[in-house]
Amino acid sequence: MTDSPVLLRIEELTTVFGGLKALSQVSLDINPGEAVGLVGPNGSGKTTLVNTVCGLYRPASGRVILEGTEITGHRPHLIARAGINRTFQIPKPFKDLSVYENVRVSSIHSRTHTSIEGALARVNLAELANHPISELTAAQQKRLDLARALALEPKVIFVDELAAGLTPGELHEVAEMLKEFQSSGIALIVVEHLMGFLEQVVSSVLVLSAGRTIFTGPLRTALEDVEVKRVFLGGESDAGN
Amino acid sequence: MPKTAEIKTLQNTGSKTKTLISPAIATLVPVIGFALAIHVYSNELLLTYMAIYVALAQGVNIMYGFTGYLPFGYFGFFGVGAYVSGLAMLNYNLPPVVAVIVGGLGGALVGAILSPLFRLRGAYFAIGTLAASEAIYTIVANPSLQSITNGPYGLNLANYYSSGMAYGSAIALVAISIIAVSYVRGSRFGLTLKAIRDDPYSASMAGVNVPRQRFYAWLISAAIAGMAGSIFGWATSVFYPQAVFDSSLSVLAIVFALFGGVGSVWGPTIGAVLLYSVYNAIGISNPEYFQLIYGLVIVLLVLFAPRGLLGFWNFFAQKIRRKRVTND
Repeated sequence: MTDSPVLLRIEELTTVFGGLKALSQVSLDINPGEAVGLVGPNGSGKTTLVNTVCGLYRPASGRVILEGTEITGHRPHLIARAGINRTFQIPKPFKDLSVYENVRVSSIHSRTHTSIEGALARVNLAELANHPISELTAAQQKRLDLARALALEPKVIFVDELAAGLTPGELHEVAEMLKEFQSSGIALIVVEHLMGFLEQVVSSVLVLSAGRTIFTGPLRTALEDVEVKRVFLGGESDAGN
Repeated sequence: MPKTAEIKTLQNTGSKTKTLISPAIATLVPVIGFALAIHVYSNELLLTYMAIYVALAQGVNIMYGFTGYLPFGYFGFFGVGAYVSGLAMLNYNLPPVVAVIVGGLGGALVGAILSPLFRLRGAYFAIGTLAASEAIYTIVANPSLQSITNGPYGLNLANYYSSGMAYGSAIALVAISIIAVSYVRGSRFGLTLKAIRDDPYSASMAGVNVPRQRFYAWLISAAIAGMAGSIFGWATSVFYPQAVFDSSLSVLAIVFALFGGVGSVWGPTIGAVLLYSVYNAIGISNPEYFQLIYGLVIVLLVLFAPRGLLGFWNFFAQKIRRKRVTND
């Protein structure tokens, strides 16, 4: 690990539920504009890592440091305002609000009252601004999660299975969208099962199994790693091809 | 794809005028209605109670309609308000109108003390508030506190009795509660509360300080109940602890709000006026029939109109609108 210019440092993070160690000493450094894939089989601790960093769970040990400031165990809204945000595997829009109002909730809590229209345009939802949530597809609702995150001027976004259920054309569109975020300096931690999609977006991956890190490094190398193949890719290595 | 300016225009079309006119109408209609009702129906005390229930239903509306937390122990703030204002009149000779405000502050203070209950959710929160209010009742009615609260013997405010003033205050409280709901509904605060109601964690990831926003809603709601209790005590003039710490106050306020439709400005007003009228038409002479009708109303509400009368109305209005669009 280097001392700078690390944007987000996750240091030996451990999360325990009762007697179960869901996350065990997981570490990760990410720089501005970088994209890292977070992969692993179901139950490997991916979502637990996201939830712990984002303040939903309190870690048993370890630290989360954003731009040199420790934010371990801070409340979720403070973490979000500090610059770490996320999307959800099952999208969580505010169902009684319109698309525009959904993003407005974030905008009014941002430091500079960011542009709602701008956030919607970045995820290609501008034309649906005045629509109710019930008229959005699941994929559009996931993009709305992203727009809400963008309106809070994030430095890091955990993108949780954004590509699931998308057509190849939509996958390409989403990949381009994520690349645009990166180019604006936002770091991405992409939780994903589709290796073909990950290849378009990230350069390196963190592979988890049973809450432990079993590999960190380039995606290509991960695909050849014996341990990774054994616990995760053995049955799914063709998924993204 | 619409341009930024077009989106803004769509969001703002008529909204400013609507933001001012709709709450004004929603406030003035019941206020004028109550002011005129006394010339048609001479039972001033009953009208005062009806106005109090409108305010209580609006208080429940702020809490349940905008945060999703059902306060079964709402009567606790009502009782605290009645006692704080009553004791302020008796011990400090405060003018009743000032005492009503002090009663509201008392309700809000107790609301602040009970705010750790927000760690509970759903039925646990409802039961928790109920238990807390019962605990307050037990303390207030305790004979060993007779020197402070007069224990189980209640308060006698006969020296301060003024039915006209109490009725006027109740109407003012109706206006205050409706204005509060209108503000919550149309403000950023209300938008934030609606987001919390839909998904608290998701709201927190949108930067919302969820406990603080809920706390503010809770305080407003508790202050309204405190003032309602103060006016009730003043208008009744002699009351016992069990009359103001009565769980049926919460049940009635909740049912009135749900019947009309929570989350709206008009719903709780309509619900309280209609159901309280039914209550007085048959509930006093034939309470057993009232209980039957009440039970049926609740069952029908849950089955067919979970969003209340206004939800029902909106559903059909939307259907007609869609039909017209299709025909065009």
